Amino acid sequence: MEILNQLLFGFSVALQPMNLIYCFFGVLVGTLIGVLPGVGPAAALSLLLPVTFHVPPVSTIILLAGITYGAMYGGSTTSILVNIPGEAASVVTCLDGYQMARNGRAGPALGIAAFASFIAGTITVFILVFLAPTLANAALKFGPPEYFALMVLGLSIMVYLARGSIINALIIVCFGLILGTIGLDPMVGVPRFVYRINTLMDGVGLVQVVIGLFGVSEVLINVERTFKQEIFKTKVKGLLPNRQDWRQSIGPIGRGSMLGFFLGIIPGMSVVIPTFVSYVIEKKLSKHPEKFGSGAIEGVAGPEAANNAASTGTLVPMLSLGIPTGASTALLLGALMIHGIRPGPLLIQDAPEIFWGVVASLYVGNIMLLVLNLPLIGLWVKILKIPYHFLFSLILLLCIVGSYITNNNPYDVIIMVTFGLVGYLMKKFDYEAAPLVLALVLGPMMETALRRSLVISDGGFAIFFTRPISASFLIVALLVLLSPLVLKKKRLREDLRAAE
Amino acid sequence: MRRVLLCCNLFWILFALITCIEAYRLKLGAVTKPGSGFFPFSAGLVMLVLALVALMQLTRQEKKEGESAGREEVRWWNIMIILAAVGAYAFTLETIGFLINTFLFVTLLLKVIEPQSWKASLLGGVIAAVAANVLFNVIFKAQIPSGILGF
Repeated sequence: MEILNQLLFGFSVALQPMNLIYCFFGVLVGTLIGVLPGVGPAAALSLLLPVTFHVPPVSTIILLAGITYGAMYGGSTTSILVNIPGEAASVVTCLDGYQMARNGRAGPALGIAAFASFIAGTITVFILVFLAPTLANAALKFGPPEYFALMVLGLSIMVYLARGSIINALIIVCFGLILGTIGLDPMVGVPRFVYRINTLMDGVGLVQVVIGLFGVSEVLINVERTFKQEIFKTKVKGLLPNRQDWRQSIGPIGRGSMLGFFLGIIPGMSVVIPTFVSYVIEKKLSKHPEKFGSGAIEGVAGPEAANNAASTGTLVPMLSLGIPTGASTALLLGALMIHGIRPGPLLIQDAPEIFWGVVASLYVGNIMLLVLNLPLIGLWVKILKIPYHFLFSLILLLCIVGSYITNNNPYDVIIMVTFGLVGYLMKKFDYEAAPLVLALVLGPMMETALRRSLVISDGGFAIFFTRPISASFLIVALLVLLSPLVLKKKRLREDLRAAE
Repeated sequence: MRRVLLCCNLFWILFALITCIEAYRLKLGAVTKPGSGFFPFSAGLVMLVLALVALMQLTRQEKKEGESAGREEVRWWNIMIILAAVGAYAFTLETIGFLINTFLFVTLLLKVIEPQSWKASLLGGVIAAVAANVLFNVIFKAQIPSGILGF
């Protein structure tokens, strides 16, 4: 009953006119970002983060959260209509969504994608309401060793799921951890690796790194070759799925929602993996697996529910433990910290308007997306018809402005473009950028937790193994890292790709 | 490709070595009270070991034949021009100002990367500069420098 009252309080916050406007703006920008290839939700959050400095904290987080789940909707629209996933979480939707469009069923594909996202959003908001406070209460028992072990687990999962060899992914994680130490030592205030460059005194900015690694590098990859743009012409009619469509989709939506939410909670899992897992499961459960890849509606409904549910799931560790699960949640965390709010187990007690306001806004935002997106599909397709030689210069301009206005410092742009080049080279040589970002985000927290643990234990590393929660996390992390050796180097990601 | 990967691993080894040396200078402290260099030194050391393992794995692999066959030509100039243009934009932003800088930047990219007519490039530059100025300086009040012209 108390939770219900708190939720009603959240709705009273989210439904305030100003917060409704921010929510609307967030989901609209999110959808636009989801439509545009090359600018993911993380880069969009980076762009808008400095704009929110003068906005109240609740509105800020409502706006930024709106971008993350709005991008999931936008990505699916372009995946279905033009076979271009606006962002990584919508890659799977291309497989059957685009085929449905080619078979003249673009309307039901778009409709089921929107409804699946909405239903998943609704289900997972209610799970979040019950789970996050419970997890926050449990997390009050967490000390530095538990936090350190949990972050090690998150990085291990990210490494396990990364493309290419595990050793390369681990090297990238170390690179991220080292980059995270640039700036003032969080415990004693000694400058590290700064070399008299004032810009580095506060560390390497996450905003600049994310924009560089994901935004600029994508542009560089695209301009190195002649860009070919093909748009499949189709008429969108009859957006409402029929009874048969619903019968086939309702199971995948339910499974995708649960799967997406619980996988999204795990640090390092991101919103991409649950979509692949959902697709594979639906294909295995289907009575007609041969139809997958040629326009099966279950192949759209499951992954679409999973990606939306996962984006809600990623908020659980961020809000209740203060641990980001990827670049987007790290930026949300950063936004809260800029406003002097420390996400963690005490957030629900100390700033209930933030927690419950955001939870309620997720639901409000999902309704907005459902109402807003179906009529705007034509507009999103027109945006995709803008030739890439115009689009890339605008994307670059947004990247420059986004990295500059964080501190009004031109050297931030240089850092951004440097990471653009780093990201480009990493893509060329098959290194993945996501572990670097997660390591950069978690690095400073890990270091503090490690050093505090060692001080508490008087220098004994055994503290990580004598405390049950910390020991369990570390054992699971070790198993995750060693499993490719035991399982003949067969990795989940490879299985998923094979299934695809 | 193999040679490039060798260079990559050598780069990581060098990077890890420099990190370890620099972190050591920051003072490692004791295990009971770790110093500022403790964490970066540990990360550098792990990275060094991993990079050496990767290098060993690579040297053991046999050279594959015909690696370079069928490669599409990479337009390196485009990448160089973009990097130089972004760098120049950053360094001249405070003197030249947002509006003019944006106009020059977008016009240059449109004219050079995927060459458009002068009319299209100039028009694209003007529209982008005015729209970006309205969006960021007027609506979002981002206070991006106006430069020599004062607007």
